[in-house]
Amino acid sequence: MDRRDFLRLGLASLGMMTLPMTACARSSTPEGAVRVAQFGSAGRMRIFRDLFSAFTARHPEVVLALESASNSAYVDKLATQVSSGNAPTVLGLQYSSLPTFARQNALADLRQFVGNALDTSAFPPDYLSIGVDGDRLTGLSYGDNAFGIVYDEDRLAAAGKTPLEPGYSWDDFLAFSVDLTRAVGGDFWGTEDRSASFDSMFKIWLLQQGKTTFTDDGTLGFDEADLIGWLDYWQLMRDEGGTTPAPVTAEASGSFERSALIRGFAPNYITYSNAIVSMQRLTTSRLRILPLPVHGGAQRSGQSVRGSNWVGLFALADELGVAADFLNFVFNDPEGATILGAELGAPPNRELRAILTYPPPQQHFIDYIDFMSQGPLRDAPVPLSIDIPPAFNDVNAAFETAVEEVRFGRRSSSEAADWFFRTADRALETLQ
Amino acid sequence: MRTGRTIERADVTTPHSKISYRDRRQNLPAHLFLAPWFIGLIVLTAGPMLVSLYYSMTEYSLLTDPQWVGLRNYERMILADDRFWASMGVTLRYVVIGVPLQLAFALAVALLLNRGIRGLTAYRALYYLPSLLAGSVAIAVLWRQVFGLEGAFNVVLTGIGFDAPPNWIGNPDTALYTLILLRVWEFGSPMVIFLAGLRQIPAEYYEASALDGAGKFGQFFKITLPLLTPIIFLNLILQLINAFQAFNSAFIVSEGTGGPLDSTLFFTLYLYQEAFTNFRMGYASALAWVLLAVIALFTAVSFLTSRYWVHYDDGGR
Repeated sequence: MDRRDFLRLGLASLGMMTLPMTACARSSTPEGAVRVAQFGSAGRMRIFRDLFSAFTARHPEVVLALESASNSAYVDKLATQVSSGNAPTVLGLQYSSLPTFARQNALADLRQFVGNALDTSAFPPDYLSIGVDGDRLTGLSYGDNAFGIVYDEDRLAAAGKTPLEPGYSWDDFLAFSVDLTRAVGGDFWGTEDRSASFDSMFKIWLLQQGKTTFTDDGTLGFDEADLIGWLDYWQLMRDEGGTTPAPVTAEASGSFERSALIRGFAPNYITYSNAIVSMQRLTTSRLRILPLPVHGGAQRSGQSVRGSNWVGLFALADELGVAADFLNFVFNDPEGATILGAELGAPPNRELRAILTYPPPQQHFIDYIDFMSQGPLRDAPVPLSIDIPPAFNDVNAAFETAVEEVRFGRRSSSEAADWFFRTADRALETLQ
Repeated sequence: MRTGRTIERADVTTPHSKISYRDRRQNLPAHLFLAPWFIGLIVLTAGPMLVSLYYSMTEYSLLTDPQWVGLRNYERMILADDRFWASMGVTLRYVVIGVPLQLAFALAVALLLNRGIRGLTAYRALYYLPSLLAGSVAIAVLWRQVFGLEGAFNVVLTGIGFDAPPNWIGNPDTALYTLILLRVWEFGSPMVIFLAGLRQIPAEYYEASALDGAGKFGQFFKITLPLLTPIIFLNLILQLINAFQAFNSAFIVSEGTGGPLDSTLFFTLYLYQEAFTNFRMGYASALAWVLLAVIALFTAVSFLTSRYWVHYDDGGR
């Protein structure tokens, strides 16, 4: 081989090396496809593929392509795609992410489709008010949801207890939990410790007292006395042995798979109530959802129906009309609503929700949502843009730290509250 | 000598313009073979580093264009961010306690394996395994199980008579030490390097010292340790850099929170939270540059102090 051949071989090799890079640069999405992004399990992805098949059978000219990722990687990927202007058209979003994307003008105003491509006439009256940001409708929830306490009924029965009746007070909750701990004994406590839950439990506690976490202009809607009251309530629960000790709580934090209920340390898990469907797969005990407690004499329950899984349309996408048709199929077509079931919440179309049938844990969840949206505890939801202001993550983190400081006995309630307000005020000042 | 020096100078001062066209053609294949590496360095390393330096002086959420803020991110970090200091404190404790323990354990195992035992290769491979596995997600998940309230560690403690052992992962006083233990368990890589270093020490030194009446401890402190200092130094630098960048263990064990009470909030984990939870890419870039500076500082101090404790056979030339 002479030098000329050697050089030719070298250049050819270099060319060969670039081929895979070229292949990587090409998208696997079919030409002209409407891209739909969704996070979640493999089972959820199968449901979406079934939805695509059903929709494209009616609209053969449309091609839908699914882009999925696990919960943890999803938002990072989506933000990068939005940043490059190459995001999917239909964006599945968790409720906490929707305001973030909306504030950056990444989401189209859906008002243009409401009443024509998107029929919302059978939806609950409050439904369209939650995804509003300013004068734009930036998101719709795939399904209704509400916070609740998932109880292990068999565990309660074994301890000779029956679940509390909806409308029970915070004092009832404390007494019930303390009694349960005493009745069972050992490494078991009457309730898990959810005192660090800012956007669910604490907000509901505040709303029942005429306060809120954030005001319309993004400042804190409560004062130190409110926070001290909350911290003292849970400290009393801890002192009386009604709730899991701090190290157990810390270890059981995060996903429901690691919850105190599933691991046998407590009879309950306080969360978005649709979690009962996934939790029931992990235990043979019968699970039941209860509403959260209510302050005696409160004017409102603070417990509204609000979706946890949301959808928005990418503002720069070309195929918004097709995407709106797809959403309308999911929401209002009996076939679409049947395929989706209660996977992402209770179907918002009340007429369809009433006639569809669901397997037992899903049916129990649907019944709970019906009760919370129509029963005596019904309350008006707060728009996500107010619930989740720009500094939400920082305020939430400060709240969790303040609660943990009290849990571990590092600070008193008043010291923790003082620290929280200094930290939260600084975050609000910097980031709002 | 004069002639030699003249030749050296002539070589050095040969101007580039004097390189003939033929020479350049001869060098072409070498440049072509080096090109992928150079392109990789510029496009994949140097380029992103410079962009990151620029981002560190901007407010950038990924969703909108970066806004220039000068040094404000660095100012906020130092003056108004408690979690920055908390994460720095956690990381320094992890590095300062974990790395020496890891190296000491690695050296102890290397000394044991260096006694001419049969099947050394198999033992070496066996002891190296934790290093391959310890950084993995699976081991971090396992660690969480082992040191939980009902984990294997507490089962053992209860078995030998400890009453109600604590929850090591869920307690802010002990959570970091479980991660340090995981670090120590990753002793395989420095152990293999120590083993290679131990085998370089001439046996005559030990024989001569034994004739002079030196005991095992004397030999270790007067022969083994001094002659091994270059290897200790190498391992120290490698493990320091590696420990500062530790992420997986804290992320998995704390489920991404750095809790309880920020006790496992590694610097890298805080950086991740700022970037991918709060979408503050500008601030996260500034954190990355501070981490680089801290690692550079520790490395520089190690090099500067090495002249006082690292002994080279050739006098350090």
